[in-house]
Amino acid sequence: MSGPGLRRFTVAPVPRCELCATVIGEEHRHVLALADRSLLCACHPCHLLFQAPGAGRFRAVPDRYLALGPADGEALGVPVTPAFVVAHGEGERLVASCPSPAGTTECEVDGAAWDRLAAANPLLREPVADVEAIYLTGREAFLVPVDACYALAGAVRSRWQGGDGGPAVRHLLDAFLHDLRSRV
Amino acid sequence: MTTPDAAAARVEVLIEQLRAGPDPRSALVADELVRCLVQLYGEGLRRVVERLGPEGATALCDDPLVESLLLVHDLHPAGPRERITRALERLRPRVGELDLLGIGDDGVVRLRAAGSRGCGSAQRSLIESAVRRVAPEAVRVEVETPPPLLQVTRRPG
Repeated sequence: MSGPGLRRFTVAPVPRCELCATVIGEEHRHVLALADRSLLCACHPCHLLFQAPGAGRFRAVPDRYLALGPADGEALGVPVTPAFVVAHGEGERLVASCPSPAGTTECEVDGAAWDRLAAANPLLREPVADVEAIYLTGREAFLVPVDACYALAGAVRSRWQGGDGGPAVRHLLDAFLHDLRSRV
Repeated sequence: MTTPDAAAARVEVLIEQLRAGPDPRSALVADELVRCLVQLYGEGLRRVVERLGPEGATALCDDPLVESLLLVHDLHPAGPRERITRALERLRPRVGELDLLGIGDDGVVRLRAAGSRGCGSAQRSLIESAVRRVAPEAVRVEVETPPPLLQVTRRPG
């Protein structure tokens, strides 16, 4: 609170849990609303509440990062790398999203091609549906939480210049990969 | 007459109703809506004050509503020290001598009450609300009082 009355509206808001409105810190976890795949900022208790599998409309986003080894993104028919592959629902369709100036461009991943790739590298079956993604760099794959993907997509969109994103976007992607390698 | 405090109280009641409702997220949306408009009008006021210059801005403060709006947006032409000193002068007839010891970087306003009338909790809150009214940036108001003198009273009865 920056002072009484209307003054609190003259400054940036205090982050609050979007499920129960408790004040939370700048560093906080997220919960995915399955209805519209939107991320909600969550306090620790609300995040815990939605960690149970199959818990209704919301699902807690885990914070694990794993190196999944080699994966050939092109064999999947994903047009651009880097891309995030997320399973929409348990055993349902796989969707690849590529960061772009318009946010993310989505395309469905060919199921048969995915099965061939996963047969060669079973770790690709590791992510939890909806809340964990596979980040494909072109040669390697990493398991990352979806909130990290959303954050990267937002940063890419805001810094995109010209046809290929420009140096700022290349720098952003390099930094993301560097960060991934330090976490796995 | 409407005041920023009355408007703020009304806004908080409405936002609280949303927070207690079926979807607490709507309270956050409402919060953001208010923030959007308050900041837009604040920016407008900032430009008005800038164009008027210090003298014009001081003249604006003759209107209590306009003055309190300038305070909301940190646009008041007088600094906090000057505003607080003037408020203490106005309080003097009711609470006695008051000195402003200083305003810390932490936003704590330190005062000393030297009057012989002592400083009860009612007076303390009177002083605090007077200071907060003219210096909403104050985080806390501390009033030092001299050690109490031994009071000699006649035995009742």
